Amino acid sequence: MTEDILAALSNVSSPTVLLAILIGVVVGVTIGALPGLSATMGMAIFAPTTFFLPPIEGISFLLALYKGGTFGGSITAVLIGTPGTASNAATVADGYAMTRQGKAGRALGLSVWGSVVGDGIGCIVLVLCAPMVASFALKVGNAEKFAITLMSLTLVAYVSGNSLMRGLLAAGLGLALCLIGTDPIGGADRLTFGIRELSAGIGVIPLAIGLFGMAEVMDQLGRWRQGSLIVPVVDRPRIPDILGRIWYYRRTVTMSALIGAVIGALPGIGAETSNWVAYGFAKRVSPNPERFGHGAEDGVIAPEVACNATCGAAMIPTLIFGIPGDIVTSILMGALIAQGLQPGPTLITENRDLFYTLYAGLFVSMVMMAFVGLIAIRFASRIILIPRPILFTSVAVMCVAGTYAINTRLFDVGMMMLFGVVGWALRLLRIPIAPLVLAFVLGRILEDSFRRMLIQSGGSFSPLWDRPIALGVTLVTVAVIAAALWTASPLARKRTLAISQD
Amino acid sequence: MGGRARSFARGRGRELMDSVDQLRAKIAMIALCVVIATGAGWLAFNIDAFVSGWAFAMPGTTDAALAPATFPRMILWLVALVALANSIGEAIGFFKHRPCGSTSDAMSNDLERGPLTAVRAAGILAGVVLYLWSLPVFGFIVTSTSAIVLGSRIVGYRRWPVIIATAVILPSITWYSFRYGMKVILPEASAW
Repeated sequence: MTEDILAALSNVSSPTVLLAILIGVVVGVTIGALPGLSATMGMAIFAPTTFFLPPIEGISFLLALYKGGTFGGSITAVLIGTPGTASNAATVADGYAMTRQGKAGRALGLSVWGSVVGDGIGCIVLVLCAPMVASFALKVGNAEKFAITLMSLTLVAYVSGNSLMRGLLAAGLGLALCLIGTDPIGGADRLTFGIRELSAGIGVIPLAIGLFGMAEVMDQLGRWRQGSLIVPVVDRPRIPDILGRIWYYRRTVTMSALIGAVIGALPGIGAETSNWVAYGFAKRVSPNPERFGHGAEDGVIAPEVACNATCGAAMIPTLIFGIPGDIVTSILMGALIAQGLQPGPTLITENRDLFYTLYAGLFVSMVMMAFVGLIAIRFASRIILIPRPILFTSVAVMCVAGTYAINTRLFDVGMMMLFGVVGWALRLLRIPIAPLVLAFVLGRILEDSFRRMLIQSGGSFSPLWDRPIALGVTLVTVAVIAAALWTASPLARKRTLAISQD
Repeated sequence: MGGRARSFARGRGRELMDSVDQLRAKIAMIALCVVIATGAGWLAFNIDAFVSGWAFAMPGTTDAALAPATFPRMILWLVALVALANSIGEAIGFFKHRPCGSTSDAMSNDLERGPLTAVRAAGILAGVVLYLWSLPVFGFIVTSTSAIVLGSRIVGYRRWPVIIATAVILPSITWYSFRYGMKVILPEASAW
């Protein structure tokens, strides 16, 4: 282990890796700070470019971009009341209120250092839990994998949509799309409709670039109007003052980090959920809950700590089980596979130096984020004021170049554009896109484990209740479905209405 | 009094427009769900015709439950069922919709965003088709340069120096970075 750690430190201190991490953080913060551009979109667009880099540089760059993007979204949330990403939506209420009170610098300072602290705690959770979870993951068979994947799908549909049924519809479409291509067991063509290019299936990266990147471009260009964004003057925050305030709210910081880490470790849900849960919790435990929504400092710290703590913890299901924790990690998983690395328990045992290097890279990107974040505060207003028509037409060009580079096929560009139109239509109908992409990724794992389980058991479903881990996970899945159905029922609606009227 | 009446009429007009928009969205949702349910149901019925290599798919077994068409059939039935439930639920107003929590929703107070008009939506879709058509004909640089200029102008952005600078610099830099950085040659023109 000591040798692995020393090797990791040696790897991560090489100039190319440090440069990749620095560029990743800068690009991530910039992307996150631009309204409409998110870490997810950035990961999708830049993932193909990493296929041409060595694995350590490529994956470190993507991880740094993920972290930078998650923090960057808070800049616009605080300055103009519009979150750069959905992960920072809870920051708006108090961050923007602080800006209107002339405390923009302090709000951004709290956001930067809250993100760094949350990120650090998330990384520590990953480092401590990964080896334990990996030894447990080696005992996981096809039945357990099937049960865990099914649970992830249920959680995805339940939490990430505007309604349970629309989330399920999106997840169903994702599952149907993953059927196209080659049969994973027999290797025969399936649902290719005679199109040769579909034999290899639809790639997750063109799908994600289309649904997140192109769809956002179309939506932004479709709705853009000549407006007047007024960006406030940002005073430079004093670091000792900011750190003192974070220490003052240490209880909220600790609880928010734990909430973020636990939610991140659950396969299927991520920072979009954890920031709201932490905000709600911080409000409940605060001695002054009436200040929330009117510029409460803990109202900025809690969601930022939580959504950044989710980043490190989301790696646990992705790297160890091969089941992505959220959309971003599903894109990361695609990038790992493209680099010839199969996520799963063997990733640790067979690629120990890479695994520990990624750990070290996470800590280095955390330190870099502290500095880049503080510099970004000074340039925040200039980043926000980039004209959106120019920005989004340029993003469209990058989407095309990134997609083409994967297989140098125009067919992929066409598919990406098609998914862009589909994503835009789904967005207009308020059907959530996240369950579609996650179900698309999880669907392949689901089918593979399901069919292998049936082959091993001779066509029987009994492994699902004969094996204790599979049984436990199946029971959780049933409980989640029951809770979701209860929430959607008219009786629950009446009760909620009665409580809110009280 | 006149002002109050005008304000009341404006409020009623806005409410009417909102309800028309909601009705339109509802009809679109129902139509989409019906199309998905019909398509998925038809595919589920005929899945064997779309799965080749039946006999080789499951070595050592002839059990129909383990056939390669079983999992796709289950998924397609599930999709058809969920789509049908959605269309019925939407039609009778059964389902409760919570806020989406997406970036777009959160950006509702953005001063640079307005409603989407049919003309602009049609223009963007036409632009996508035109881009796809011209990419293999005129190549990446020319097509992307034109796309940046036309895209920015169509949505109403008017600062020519910024448009021209971006349109000239970005596609060229991208082409050369991909060509010499990643050894990927982006589409070149076939027209000349």
